[in-house]
Amino acid sequence: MAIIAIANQKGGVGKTTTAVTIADGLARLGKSVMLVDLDPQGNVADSLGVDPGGDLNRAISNNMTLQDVAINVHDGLDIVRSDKTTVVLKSKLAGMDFREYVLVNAMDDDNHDYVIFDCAPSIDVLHTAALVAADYLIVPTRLDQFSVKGVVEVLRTLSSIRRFSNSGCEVGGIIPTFYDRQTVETQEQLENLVSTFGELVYPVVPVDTNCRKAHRAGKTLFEFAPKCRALVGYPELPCGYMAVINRILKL
Amino acid sequence: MKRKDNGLIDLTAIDPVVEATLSQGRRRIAERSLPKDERKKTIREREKAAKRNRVMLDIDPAIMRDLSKLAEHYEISQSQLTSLALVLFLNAIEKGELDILPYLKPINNPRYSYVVNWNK
Repeated sequence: MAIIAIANQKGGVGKTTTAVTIADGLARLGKSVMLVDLDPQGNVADSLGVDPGGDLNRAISNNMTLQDVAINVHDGLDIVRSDKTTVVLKSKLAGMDFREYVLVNAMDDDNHDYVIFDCAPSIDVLHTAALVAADYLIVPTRLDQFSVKGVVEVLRTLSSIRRFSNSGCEVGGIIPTFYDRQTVETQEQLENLVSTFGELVYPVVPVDTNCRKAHRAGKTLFEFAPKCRALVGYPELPCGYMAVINRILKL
Repeated sequence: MKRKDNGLIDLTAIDPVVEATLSQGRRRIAERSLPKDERKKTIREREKAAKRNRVMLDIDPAIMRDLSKLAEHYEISQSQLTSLALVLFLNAIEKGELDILPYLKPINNPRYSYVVNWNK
């Protein structure tokens, strides 16, 4: 089993789209996947066209496992939903001892091939707990100055968490999202990322309006536009989430 | 992911897809910074190079339809499917597995001596 945390403290970089698309893609390749929404905005359920729910709060408040509360979306893909009750959960956890291990404990005897945490764009107890529980951290980032700075911040956070806990979480990769090949800024930021992080930089995900349209339709990219640019890349340059998923399979 | 002898990730290695993305981006930027005339010339040359691979052939509409259906079925381009078909065909002729003579019918034409009769 591989546990992956998708995190970046900067908002709007495509964390939920990345988490949902990777989870859906892995499930379509025959893997069993559990996608856990740690963000009180509950966008994972919206993206999959499922009613929102407080599964995460229910599991942790009642000492249940995540697997107990997960709902099946389609073959191979289970999700643990989040909603405003996650805010209540976070304040409850704030006063608890060993709160950083809450997700480790909630995954006792889990038998999925992949567990993916979609983290909220903030540093909170669940974000820390996800990095303690995860084997790999994957950081989606837009190719602009503030977002790339967010990558450095999340890597610093991981480094601190590794110091105070026995987390074995490694940096799995950095996914450049919203890649727009028309702008020089995009190219410069990509050059910058690659010169700093080398092979940790995954193939780019091109900017694609199909992502927004798929969210509105409550469908995943694989269902809504299986040949769209964000999934398969450009005709002369195959990249996008398919190439990202291929890298994840090699983790 | 490549690792050094000490177990640390080798950050000098680059994913080949990312490398291709970077080099395409560099080429685009370099082209954009050229003077207008040179930029037009580069675009013309690129279009010319692309055209070198194109051929115009007269093909029966029924064959085109079948080809199109098959390409759609395998989710590949018609050009690639046609290339594959031609490679298989040429290989078969080279190995002596296929003889096209039975398909040829003599005609009275100043340019060609035969016409192909491909009725199934």
